[in-house]
Amino acid sequence: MSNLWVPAFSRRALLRYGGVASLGALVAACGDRGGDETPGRVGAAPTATDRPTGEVNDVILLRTAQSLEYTAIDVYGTFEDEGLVDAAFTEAFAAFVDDHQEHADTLGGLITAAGGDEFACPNPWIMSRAVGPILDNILGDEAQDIPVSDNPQRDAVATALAFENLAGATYQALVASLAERELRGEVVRIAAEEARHASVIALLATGVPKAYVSPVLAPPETPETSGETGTTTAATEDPATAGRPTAYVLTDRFGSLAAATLAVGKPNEAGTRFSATLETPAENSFIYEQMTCAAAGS
Amino acid sequence: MKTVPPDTTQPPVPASTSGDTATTATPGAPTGADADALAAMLGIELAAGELYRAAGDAGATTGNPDLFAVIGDSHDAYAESLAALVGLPVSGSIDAAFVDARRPDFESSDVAAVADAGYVLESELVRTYTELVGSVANVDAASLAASILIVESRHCTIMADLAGRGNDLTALLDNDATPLDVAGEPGS
Repeated sequence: MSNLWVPAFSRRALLRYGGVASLGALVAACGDRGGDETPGRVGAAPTATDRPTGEVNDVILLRTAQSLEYTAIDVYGTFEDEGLVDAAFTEAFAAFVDDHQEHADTLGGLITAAGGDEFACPNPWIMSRAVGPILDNILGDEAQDIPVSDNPQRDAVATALAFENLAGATYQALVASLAERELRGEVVRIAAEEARHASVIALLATGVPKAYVSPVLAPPETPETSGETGTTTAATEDPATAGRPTAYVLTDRFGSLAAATLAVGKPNEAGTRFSATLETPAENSFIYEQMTCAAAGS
Repeated sequence: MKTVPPDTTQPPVPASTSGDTATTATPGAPTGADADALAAMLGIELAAGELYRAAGDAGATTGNPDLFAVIGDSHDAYAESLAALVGLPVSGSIDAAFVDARRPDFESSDVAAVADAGYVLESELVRTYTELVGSVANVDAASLAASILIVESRHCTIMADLAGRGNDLTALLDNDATPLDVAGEPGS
């Protein structure tokens, strides 16, 4: 696996310290009370920033897409580094990483041909707002009093699935936004491949034939003999897929652009887990033309 | 978080109304070669639905729910959306020649054999729609095609598994099919 973005130290440390500029601003604000009129801030929330401005053109959209590919590569790399990859998924995840690199390379060529500069590193907004908190809740974080997940491998699979679905939806959404029709064809090819990644994850996680189609899309014609309604019960769980998230290949008849919710981590006392809402990129997560990997801390 | 069942009956609204990005999209209903190509896809989607029904009638079923029936229904839904976009009736638009050419491959009680034929069909559809997305001027047509092909891509993976190639990552992931020859030159 080739990765043009080489971290200076571990990925998890970068996710934790990526906001060092924000922490520095907080420390400064708490210092000389007579000089800084910036309102004080409490907690570990990222410093609020003005929403970037500027025309969103094909180069920006392609750079954003490229950043998502490197985000996916980074996430899979973290899973591998932290020993979270179930043996059943090893070959598939490795193939996905190769595909994401190929996608990133393709997008790099398209960006350059369109007169732009590549953004060959993860999307900083998504890394700090989504990936970082997700990984904290899978791997635990003592500083934030976050326990290790009760099933990190399950959560790694669920995260991979969520990001593959997000990637597919992103490219699907780009079709309507890109001005050049040839670029639409290029990105939708990638969308189809991301959808197949998600499909393979669902097959491996849930087992066949159960994984083929969601009961929401195609309810069984007769009630389950177990007498239970709704979702899977422990009594019908396949031992081969025990502990893995339930996922389906077909959940909609048409490609969905809706936001998805990912739940990971150890359940709290109320039984709920950390959840993150994943949406296709918008203004805050676009990679504008003035942005560089170096400035993003990559 | 409460889960709301998705509206699976209609394609997503294209993002072209966001107004945030410049586009050279052609407004209104597809015309000219775009309309011809979409009309051809309408006929083929109806044919695909008919072929999966032929498989079911021949005794090829995958259990409860029957996957061939589910996917056949999806192709019918795609046909309805294409018909609505180009302003054509669904009735009478089926590509009968396409059905006749492929019926022998689908009219079988052998699930794996039908899945093989389905794998080829779905792969060709994905490649055809991919070319269309990159060639049609009408952005609504491109968006609809994208929303269809991304699910037909998932059909490919399922068919690979049903055909007994569930351990073959290449079959599960790759698409080296040749696009179907649909009517019309690109871009009008």
